[in-house]
Amino acid sequence: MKHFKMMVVGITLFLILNTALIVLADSDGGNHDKGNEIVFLLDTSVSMKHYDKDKAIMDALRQTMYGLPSRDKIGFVAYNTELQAVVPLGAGTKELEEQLEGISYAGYTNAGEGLRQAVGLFSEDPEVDARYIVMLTDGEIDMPDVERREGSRSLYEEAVSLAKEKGIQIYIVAIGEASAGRRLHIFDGAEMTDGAIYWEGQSGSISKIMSRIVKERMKIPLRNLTGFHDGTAGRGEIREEIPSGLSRLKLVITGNKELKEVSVRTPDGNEEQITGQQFLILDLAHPSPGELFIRYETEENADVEAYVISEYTAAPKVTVNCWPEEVPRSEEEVKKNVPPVYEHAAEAVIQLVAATEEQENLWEQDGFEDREIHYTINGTPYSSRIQQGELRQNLLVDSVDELEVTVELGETEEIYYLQQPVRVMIEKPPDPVFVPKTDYHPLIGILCCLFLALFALLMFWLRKKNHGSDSAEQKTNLKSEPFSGKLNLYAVRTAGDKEIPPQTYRLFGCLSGRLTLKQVLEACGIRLEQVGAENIMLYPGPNHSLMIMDQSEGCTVMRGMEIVKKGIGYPVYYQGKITVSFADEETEIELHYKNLKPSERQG
Amino acid sequence: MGNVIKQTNRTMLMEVINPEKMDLVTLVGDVRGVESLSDDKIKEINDHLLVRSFDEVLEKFAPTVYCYYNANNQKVVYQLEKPEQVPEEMLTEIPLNRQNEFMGMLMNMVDTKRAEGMINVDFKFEKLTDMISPKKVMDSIKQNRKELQYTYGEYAKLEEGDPKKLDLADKLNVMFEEASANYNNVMAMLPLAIEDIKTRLLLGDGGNQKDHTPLALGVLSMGDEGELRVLEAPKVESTALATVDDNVNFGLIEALKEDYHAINEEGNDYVAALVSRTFCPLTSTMEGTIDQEQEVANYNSYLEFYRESKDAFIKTVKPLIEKLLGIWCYFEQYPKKLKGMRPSMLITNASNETLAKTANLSRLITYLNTTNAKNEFGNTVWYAVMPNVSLDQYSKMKLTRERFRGNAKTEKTDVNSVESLTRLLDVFKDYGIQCFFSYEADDSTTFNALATEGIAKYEDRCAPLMGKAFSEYAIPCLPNFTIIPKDKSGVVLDRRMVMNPEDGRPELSKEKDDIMKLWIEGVYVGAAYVAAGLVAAYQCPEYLKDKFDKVKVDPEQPGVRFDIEADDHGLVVYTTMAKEITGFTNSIKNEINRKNFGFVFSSENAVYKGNDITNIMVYKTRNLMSDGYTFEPIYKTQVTNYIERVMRHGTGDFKEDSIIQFFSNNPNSQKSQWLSKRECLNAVLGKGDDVEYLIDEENDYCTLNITFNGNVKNLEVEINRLSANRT
Repeated sequence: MKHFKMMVVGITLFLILNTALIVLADSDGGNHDKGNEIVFLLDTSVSMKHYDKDKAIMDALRQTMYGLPSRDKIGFVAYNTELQAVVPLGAGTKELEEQLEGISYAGYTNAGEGLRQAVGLFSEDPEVDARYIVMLTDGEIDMPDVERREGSRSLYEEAVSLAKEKGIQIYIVAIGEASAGRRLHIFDGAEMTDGAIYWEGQSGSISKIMSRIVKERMKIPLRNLTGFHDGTAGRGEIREEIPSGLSRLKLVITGNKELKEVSVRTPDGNEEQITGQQFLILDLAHPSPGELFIRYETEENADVEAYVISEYTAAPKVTVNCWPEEVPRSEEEVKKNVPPVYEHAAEAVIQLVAATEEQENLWEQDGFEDREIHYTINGTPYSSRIQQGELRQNLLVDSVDELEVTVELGETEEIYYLQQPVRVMIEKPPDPVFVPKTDYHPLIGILCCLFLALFALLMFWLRKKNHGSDSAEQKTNLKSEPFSGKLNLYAVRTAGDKEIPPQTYRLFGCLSGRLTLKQVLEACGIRLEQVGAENIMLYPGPNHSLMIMDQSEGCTVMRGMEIVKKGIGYPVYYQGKITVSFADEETEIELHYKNLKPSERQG
Repeated sequence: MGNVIKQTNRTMLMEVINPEKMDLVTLVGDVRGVESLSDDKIKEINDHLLVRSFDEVLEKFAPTVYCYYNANNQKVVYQLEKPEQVPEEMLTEIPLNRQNEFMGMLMNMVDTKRAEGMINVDFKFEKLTDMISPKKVMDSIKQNRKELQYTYGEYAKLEEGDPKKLDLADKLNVMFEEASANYNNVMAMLPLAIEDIKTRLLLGDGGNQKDHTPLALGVLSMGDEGELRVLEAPKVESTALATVDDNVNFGLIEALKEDYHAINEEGNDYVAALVSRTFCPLTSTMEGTIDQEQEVANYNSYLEFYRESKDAFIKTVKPLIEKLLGIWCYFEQYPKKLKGMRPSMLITNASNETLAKTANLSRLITYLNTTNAKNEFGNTVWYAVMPNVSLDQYSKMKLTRERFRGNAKTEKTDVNSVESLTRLLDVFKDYGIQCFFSYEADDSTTFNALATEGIAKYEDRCAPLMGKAFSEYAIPCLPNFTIIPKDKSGVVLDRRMVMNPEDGRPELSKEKDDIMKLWIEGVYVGAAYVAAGLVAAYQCPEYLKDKFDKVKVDPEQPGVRFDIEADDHGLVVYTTMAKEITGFTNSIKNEINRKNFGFVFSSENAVYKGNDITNIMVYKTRNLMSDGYTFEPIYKTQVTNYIERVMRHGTGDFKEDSIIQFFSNNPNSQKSQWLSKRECLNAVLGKGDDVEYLIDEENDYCTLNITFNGNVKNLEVEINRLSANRT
């Protein structure tokens, strides 16, 4: 009896769930999660006054500053003959607004000093996603005398070279008709840094140009909204479903005409808006899920666009199930009582949880299912597809005590600030105690007698109290995982195209222990000779799973799309599908693992 | 929460319509390791197999019969599968569409019978069956040729260069194209040739006229004594108009001959003359010479060949036509004018037997996993139609090897075995698909047979399907519908022609043996099509609004709970099929009512609000799940599936806390919303209904007790716990 218990202990799987998250440091998940550094460089020479009569430039600047992701750092430099204003990166919108308020147009165009100052604002941080200067000017460098003009030009060239070295791209918005189509010295800045030049009018209004720079050049993950604006009627309605787990949402509406009669309804009741002459921005921190509704009116035939920036703060959540796996022993080793060697196999289950109170699994949201994700475990790259909001990876973990996991989401329409890598300790269950086979021959006689006596007693007991023995048996079974569910068998290919009707094998109610696939097939009346079914093991696993282990030489077993490695037990959960190609290379069966409803279990 | 399920009537039909088109098994493809299909794949399947009207069936599946000639036995061969060994140029494809005379005749038959409201015994089937006789084919050509002659006349009158002449030329081109459909193959020419010879040889015969005086055309006049006389018209008195007529006809004859020769490289002058005679008006004074004995021999051989080929065609095409009529009847149940939840049908284009093969079942399961096991319900399949199930309750799939030689019996082709039905039902139960099936459609399963033999036969046949987990999803539909009864399916084509030995003139034979007749041997439609069509139709709230008081119907809810057996619903919602018999006897009805067996149609005399109902109505709507005394109504299964799907969606796949909210007394909870509409005809929970839940913490199961008028039905769903760390 003691030996039996030992054996039970030996084959029982340990379930260790460890969801401790050790957040080490932020690292790049490949999804704009470090943010950009952006400096707006504004020419405030007297000639610009003519072009900014209705404050269109200031309006466009504000629209862009507020319409960027929250982790983007913004700086501002204004210049004419001398520097007029300097706001360092990351100073905040309040200071930016104050400086914009104080801008007046006067003097000459000392672009060299302006650009030098702008380039000097950028940090040396190597992990910034990208660096940009957006320069708004109406023309060439101009100073009161030739010497100072040349000085400013050479300063401009030096600053451009430095910008190129630092990887800063310069986008120039050429304002006014004077500069339209002309080749100006100042444009070198954009050309040398792989930036671009936009001419007001040709490339649209200033607001439109700024919007294009954000969408097309800065590669910020955002989602354009369409179909909400009725141009003929001059009005529009946006209904946007806010998903759960968001850390921030920005909705930016821009147009070439004023937006009036704006009405906003959010699930939180937060109706604060940032507005300008031709734009409207909603900036919602930790918004509640639900419908966001915006209605506005504008002039007939106005051109209105909108986009949404969704930001999530999240971290991978890793759960590790670990169990000992016996390395198959040769017949000789078994005979000689050589203790078995165990190796530890584990299944890592990875989810992506939002850093909110509810800790939603973001991969359960629409669009992630079946998406391929690249990730690393202890530095080894892997990739697999998300199934039911999770990634699953089987590993051998003998040589490691913890797993360090990072994930890469690739290109998405949302921004994910990922807190990773995460480390998870692996708690390995102890190896089952090996009890060497001792020479029981002297005792066999006594045991046989005892067994016979016990058997006679048991039979007597069974006859008298049948239910008593049932409860004892139940107690024995409780000590190990019982089988559950059922297997639907479909022979999808057979030798000689013999048709085998679909079969069902009820696992629920089977005694715990190991079953071979051959046993299952034979119980269903399917006889397959020498195809390797006897070497495919089935045994109950944790959480009502069914463990499948391929110990055959010539069979191929697949769990879903994954090929089961030889000698390692793989858990299969309800609704899971196993495909077995047998050694004869002709027969193939599918096993569908299904749950039984309580009423079905009684049968 | 809103109504997330926009359709509850997608129906799957397991039949082959055109083997040359894609089928579900091929489209799903290899599913090794795959649990569901991609959205693109579903779209592709829908593009190929999903139909929303009968015309879409004809367009997407283009049902076709292939025809070729066997020179060895001088016979025409028809096949539904494209013969691979016959080269394309030797093969004629005959599309089966509304224009096909046989198909058209049968559809006309259903429409006429519905309009007249006559039972089978009184209906004059022969009036419509003679639509496929050569005479009727000729009649339809007569109208065409009248227009052709008129247009050609107008064309000939105009001068060269007149712009109007060009317009008329365009019109003539179109008309010639249509006419050429008749003379570019010999088969189509046969009825024309038969009628042509008959007309020319018997001109002046006047049917039963006994007078065999040679014909001389004359005019009516009065004699010297005032008596009436028919005088032979003087031939010289041809008017200028008649000359013009001859010129016109001469031009038309030449044009037709030229066109015939251009299309048929191996054409001959005989057929060219036949074409010109057929499409030229008989009033023409043009005349050809006739070799009477040769023509009589031709006539008889044409008629014989026509009968044989028509017979072969009908025998080949009848099973397919019956399927097409079934699909037509399915769509006919939903009025065309309505714009609501129009029933849609996914035709697998693979037979029941093919789908039920173990290798293919896995593909079907993968498809249904995608459509029926997701929280997206646009493509959910709710019903299946399986007509033509074998009456042999132990029938096996064709692929099962016969170990011992059994009784020899004539094997019916195209019959679905009970074994394949069982296999599919076992899959359907896992995906909540109610399967309407009907037994093989012939004269033994009609209203007439049910009225005389009773229902016991069907109960016996269904016995192997009872008491199983899938019984709830098996709905036996009976009796089958008769389009043409077997005993009235004879079509008289014509009589043979003989030379009268007395006067040497040809005449139609009076002998009974010389009547050329062919037997269609009955055309029947499986009851499953009509049953599924009607149930699919009343799922639509617009349909119910159309039939009942609009105020009583909720515009959002589907008709899942609508019980056609309740109140006078059966007198308001009935099929579009015409009554067939006078009714069942009381003893038969008692037998049906005793156990409430099956989805039974009735052909009864009924009056509702003063109006006679001349259509077939529904008497019972039960599946094969029984409590030992009575069978369960189908609406219970439908409501249970509907609640399960809405609940799965609304509770995020059965999250425990969401389930509690789902059934809470909060006015916004789904249960409260359903209860607030209980007065509606299409309420999900009607009067006397309720739903309660019980959570089994130990097994992680939630049991719903759904009460229908005091009877409780259980639904068990697995709870989805947020924390999965329970062992």
